[in-house]
Amino acid sequence: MDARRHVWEGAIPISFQLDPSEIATAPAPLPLLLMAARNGYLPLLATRIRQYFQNAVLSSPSSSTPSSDQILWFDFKGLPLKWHIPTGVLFDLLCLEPQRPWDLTVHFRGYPSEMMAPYEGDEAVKWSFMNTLKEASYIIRGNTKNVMDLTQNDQNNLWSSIVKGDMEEHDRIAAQFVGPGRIEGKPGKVPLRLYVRAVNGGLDDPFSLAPVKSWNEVMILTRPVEILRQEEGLAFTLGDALVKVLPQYFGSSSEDPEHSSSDSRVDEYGPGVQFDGTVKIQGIQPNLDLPFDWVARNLAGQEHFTHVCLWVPGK
Amino acid sequence: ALAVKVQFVSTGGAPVLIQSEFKIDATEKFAKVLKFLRRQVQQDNVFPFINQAFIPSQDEPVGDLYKNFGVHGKLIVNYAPTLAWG
Repeated sequence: MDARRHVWEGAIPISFQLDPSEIATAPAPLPLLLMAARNGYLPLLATRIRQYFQNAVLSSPSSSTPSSDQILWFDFKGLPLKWHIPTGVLFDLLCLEPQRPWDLTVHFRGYPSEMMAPYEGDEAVKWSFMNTLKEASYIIRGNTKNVMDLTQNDQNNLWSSIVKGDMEEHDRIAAQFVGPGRIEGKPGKVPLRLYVRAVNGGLDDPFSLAPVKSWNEVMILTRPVEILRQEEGLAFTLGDALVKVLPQYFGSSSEDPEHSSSDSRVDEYGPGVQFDGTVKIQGIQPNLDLPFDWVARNLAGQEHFTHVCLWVPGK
Repeated sequence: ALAVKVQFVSTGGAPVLIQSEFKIDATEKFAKVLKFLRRQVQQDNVFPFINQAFIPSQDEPVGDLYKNFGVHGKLIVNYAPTLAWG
């Protein structure tokens, strides 16, 4: 099975527990176990979660909103989860050492609207997806024409392919606009989104890593990467791309004599990329020598962005 | 601190600003820019777009947006009274 299919079919087992302060029944409801697609969004599970818990939820005397209208939100160890970030990215970022199942708390009340805009149903999630797809398209081609030119039918089917995790259906429609972009004769760029956490002390024991308490601890960056022309036989690697976008964290071994590489590769990009932290893409810690265009083609998320989680030793 | 020149351009009948160009700290997230815009035009019903193409993520620092999508030394943010694009 090729890498891309693995990613498309990748799913995370999640155990949803109702916020104890919202439970009206005794005994408390058992957690709901669901598989969530990596290249999906948590709100797409809201309907099933709502159906399962709604009879157990306290109705608030101060609110006239029935539980059927309340917007569900989720937290992991107290951190509200941003719903527009693909589920797999949230899991990788917040659970460096994967927890199976992933224990999330579901809330019917108290949507943190200061922190993130509410989503009104699946339509809002679809809109967010289409919008991010346009941003990716803009980065790749310098315009959003190909996405805008999709028929309403194709747009609906594209969204549906994401909801169902149907890679073939997605590819059939996306064939209208994938392929290397060109902007004014130059190669287009690869859409890259980085999630950077500075970690005090070493990363030797991922279990001892403190959970993220606030989104302020995570730097979320969009960094389009131009794949540089490579010499015969040499690929522009993932490491090369990371050196370009985050030079302050990635060094090449030529700068540090103590880390001289035994790799005899001599090229314009330096003898090798050194990094003291951890990189995770779609649940794997990839070799930094992987060709970057392979990574982009196979490990991208549903909006055609490649999401990279990074833990860097820092202050 | 590095500041980014942000130019707000009204489209689709959205209120026009007398002063439309502002300097915003590069580290500010787009969410702040949107809040600022809504205060300036004095209504919540305005939707921002970058280069008439897409709405950026609320978490994106303005400096990044300028680096990736800026034109002519500015970050141009169109705003419309409806979600007009797409």
